[in-house]
Amino acid sequence: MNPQPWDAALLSRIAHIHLQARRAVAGWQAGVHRSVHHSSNIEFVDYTEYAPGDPIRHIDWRVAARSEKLVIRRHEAESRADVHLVLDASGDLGTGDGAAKVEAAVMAAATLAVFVNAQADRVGLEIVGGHGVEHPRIPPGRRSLGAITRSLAQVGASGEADLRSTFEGLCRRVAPRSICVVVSDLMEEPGEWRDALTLLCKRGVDVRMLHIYDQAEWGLDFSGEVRLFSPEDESELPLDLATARAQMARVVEDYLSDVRSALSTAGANHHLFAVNSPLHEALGALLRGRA
Amino acid sequence: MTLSWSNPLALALGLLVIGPILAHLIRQTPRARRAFGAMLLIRRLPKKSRRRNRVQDPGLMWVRIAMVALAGLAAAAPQLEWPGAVPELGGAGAVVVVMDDSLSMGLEEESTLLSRARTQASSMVRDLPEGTLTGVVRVAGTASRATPGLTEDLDSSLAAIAATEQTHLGTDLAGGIRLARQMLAGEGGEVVVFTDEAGLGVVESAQAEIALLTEQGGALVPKPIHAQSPSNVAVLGARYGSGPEGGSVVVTVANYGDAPVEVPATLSLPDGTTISGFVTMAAGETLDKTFTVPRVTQGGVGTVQIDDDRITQDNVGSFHLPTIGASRVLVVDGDPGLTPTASEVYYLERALAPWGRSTSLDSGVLPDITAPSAVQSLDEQVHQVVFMANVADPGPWANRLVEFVTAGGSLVLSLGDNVSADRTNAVLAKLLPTPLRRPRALAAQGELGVRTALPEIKDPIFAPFARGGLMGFQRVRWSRLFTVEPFKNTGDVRTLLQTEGGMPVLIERRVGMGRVLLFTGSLDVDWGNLPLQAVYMPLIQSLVRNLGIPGGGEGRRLDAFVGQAVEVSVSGHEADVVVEGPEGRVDVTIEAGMARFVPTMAGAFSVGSPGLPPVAQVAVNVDGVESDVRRHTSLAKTAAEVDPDRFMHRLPLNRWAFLLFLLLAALSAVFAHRISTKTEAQNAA
Repeated sequence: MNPQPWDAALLSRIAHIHLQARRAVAGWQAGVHRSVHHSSNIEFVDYTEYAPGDPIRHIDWRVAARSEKLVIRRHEAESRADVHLVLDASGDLGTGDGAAKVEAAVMAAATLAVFVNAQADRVGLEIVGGHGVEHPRIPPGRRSLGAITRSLAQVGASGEADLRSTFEGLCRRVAPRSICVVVSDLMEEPGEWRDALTLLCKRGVDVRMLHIYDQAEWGLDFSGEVRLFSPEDESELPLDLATARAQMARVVEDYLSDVRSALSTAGANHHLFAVNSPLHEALGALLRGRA
Repeated sequence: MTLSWSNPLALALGLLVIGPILAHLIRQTPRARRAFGAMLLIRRLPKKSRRRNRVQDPGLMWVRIAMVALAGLAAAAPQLEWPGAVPELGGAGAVVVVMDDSLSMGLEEESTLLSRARTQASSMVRDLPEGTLTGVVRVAGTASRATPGLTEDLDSSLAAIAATEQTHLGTDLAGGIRLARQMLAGEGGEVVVFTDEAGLGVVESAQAEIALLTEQGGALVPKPIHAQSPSNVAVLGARYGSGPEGGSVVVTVANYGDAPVEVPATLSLPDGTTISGFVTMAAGETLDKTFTVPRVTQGGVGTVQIDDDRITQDNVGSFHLPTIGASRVLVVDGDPGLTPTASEVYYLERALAPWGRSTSLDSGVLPDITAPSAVQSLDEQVHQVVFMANVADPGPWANRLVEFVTAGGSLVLSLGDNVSADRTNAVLAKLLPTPLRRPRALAAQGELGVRTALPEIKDPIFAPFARGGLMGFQRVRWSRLFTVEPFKNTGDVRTLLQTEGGMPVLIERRVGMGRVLLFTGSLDVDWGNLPLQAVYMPLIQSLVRNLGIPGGGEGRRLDAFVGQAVEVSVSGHEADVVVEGPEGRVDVTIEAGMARFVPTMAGAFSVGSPGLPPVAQVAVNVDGVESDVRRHTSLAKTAAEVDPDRFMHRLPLNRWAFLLFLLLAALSAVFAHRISTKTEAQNAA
């Protein structure tokens, strides 16, 4: 169902998101002037191993002749790049006080969109899960920011993300050398989506994972006897809070280890982003390509 | 201690404890739900962190389980049982009261136990429902009916109870229960026994009767009457024996109390002499107190009395005492002989008075040597024993001798060459144990002669040889003896000594109240060597001591217990026989020449005709069993072994279970309220 164009609340939210995103970008843009995209000319950056799908013309034949390995020269791009924003709006992000996770995810996505647009790069948006409206994929474009902002303003957490299918879809839709920023809580077993993500990365897509989480949830930091249930499938698991709290740190550590291993295997960057933490720190690291 | 259930099926209600468990397991899931976005992490938690079987509010659950269990327990009506209870009267419709009127019930403690028993029994009978059949049985001595049978007239039973008097007798508890059982005639009913349970073995002896009573549908209801501090000092017996001076009387005294005591004791001899002393005993001790008898004293029945105020009836003991130091013996010398050693009297005199006449009074025997003619003036009051030694013709004095013996004197005849069998048989036929035949040579000149067989030491005459010297009789040999007409050993005639070949040497016959002893040999060294043997002097001394007892021989010295029937042969005196006891004459029945009486108290009893020496003297004592007032076997315990179900303490627990249930219910409510309040506060937070 399409929202009414005169929905005052929606308009207010759009304005809020846009304003907040611009404010955030203004705050750290001065330190981040380089393009997020690696290109084939201008300034040499480094070598990278050739992967199927890479342009043959970028192969450094001299190096190949010496090392008997096909490598590609990478340079600072002058040309505009496509940036795909993938927002996980599954039901799991709707938990926490005031649905903090989905709010933080929306704000991160909006900020990135504004930033990329300001860099004259093309930015698109794909929302996974969510409720209330159909989320059409917004392909990367110089004039997509308004649609992106409008779409983000309508996001509500619901449904399941199904990261494996999402990454498989991206493999088909995203052009090589594109940048794909995934904002997700990654609450699916890494083993399920690792291969699909690896394939995506192998296609030459620069995948950067903004892993959003709620520290209160990971620490089971709440009082009273409650039944915990998954907002995605309504499933419940019985839990002895006292015992679980003692085990939780170890479980989180193992989980993060698995996530990092999967991302590392796939060749994607991983950036943890705790809700209620400064957004610019996480986004700055993400744009710089450092974990 | 055991646990029984009136309604064991109700224990199945205990299964309902599953209810609280299930309820609390179900309640383990909190009401509040919370959406959680990291369920992946929860799934990664170890399974033990998942709460599957964790019980919600376990404290409250246990309280509720206890509530349900207690409800089941209360419904099952449990009761604790342990032995030792005394059953109460159950209104069986027939009650026999068994009154213990034995000696031990005379124990004084403000009042006697019997007095308390009478009071309690009367009170019990008065409280019986109207129409209840009652009867009374007494158990002292031989149990007897105090009422002819069961009667609805409570007054007659009350009168019988009130008429129950203290006795000196033992307890016939078994007989009492038997009579009570017979009164009930197998119709069932209750036998209420008022007893102090004193006396070792008294209660145990009644167990079989209790079993029969139970089999017949009756029930025993013990009513023990106990003193707060049972104690008693009793004379268990006294006996005369050898010892310094004139011998010793050993008195056995028992202290049945739990504290040491010192009681005065007074020994009374038949001649009126009293000897006093003190008996000191530890708690529970039984000891022998020895009294030394004077060298000269009259024989008879002596008594010993102690001073104890708990049970006075057993403070007296009695014993037989032989005449000591005053046995006057008249020795008639029928053959003086040419030399002193040629006469029997020579040896007799030295055997009877070995230290000479000057000391013979103290030594126990005072012999008077005389010629046969002196027999005519024989005085029973002076001499108790007459020795006729080888007297050729006793004819002139035969009648006097018969009178002497019949009246209680003793005659010892020894034979010899002077004696004529025909003459002697003719004049002493009433006294001789058996007619004489003729002298018979048993060995040739120069030979040793035949041996004497060992006598029975059970005979009082030979009792002194029990401690030694009996074998000396085998050294006594006979070269010549008078043969006698064959006779049978009966109650009146018996052989005391014989040769190894069976020829009688010493024969005894009872004549009237006296005895005659016939030596078939001579008491010098002509026919044998008896005077030269070691056994001679003690034998003669023992003869004189036993024969010197007034009233005659062993059969007339009787011992009896209080309550035990005493029978004495009084042939020839049936008309005027009386029995004198410590407190005067005693009822006596005479049938077929036998006097029969039942002594009711301890002490000396004499049977005989007034003015004549007694036919018998009876030393009567109480049965020491009754004097032991300490608690031995409980009648209730004994009856409980027969019919354990009636003697159980029972404590119903259902009321306690119900009260506890209510308490836990209140506790549960408080717990539930507090938990609810706390949960609401948490949810609100």
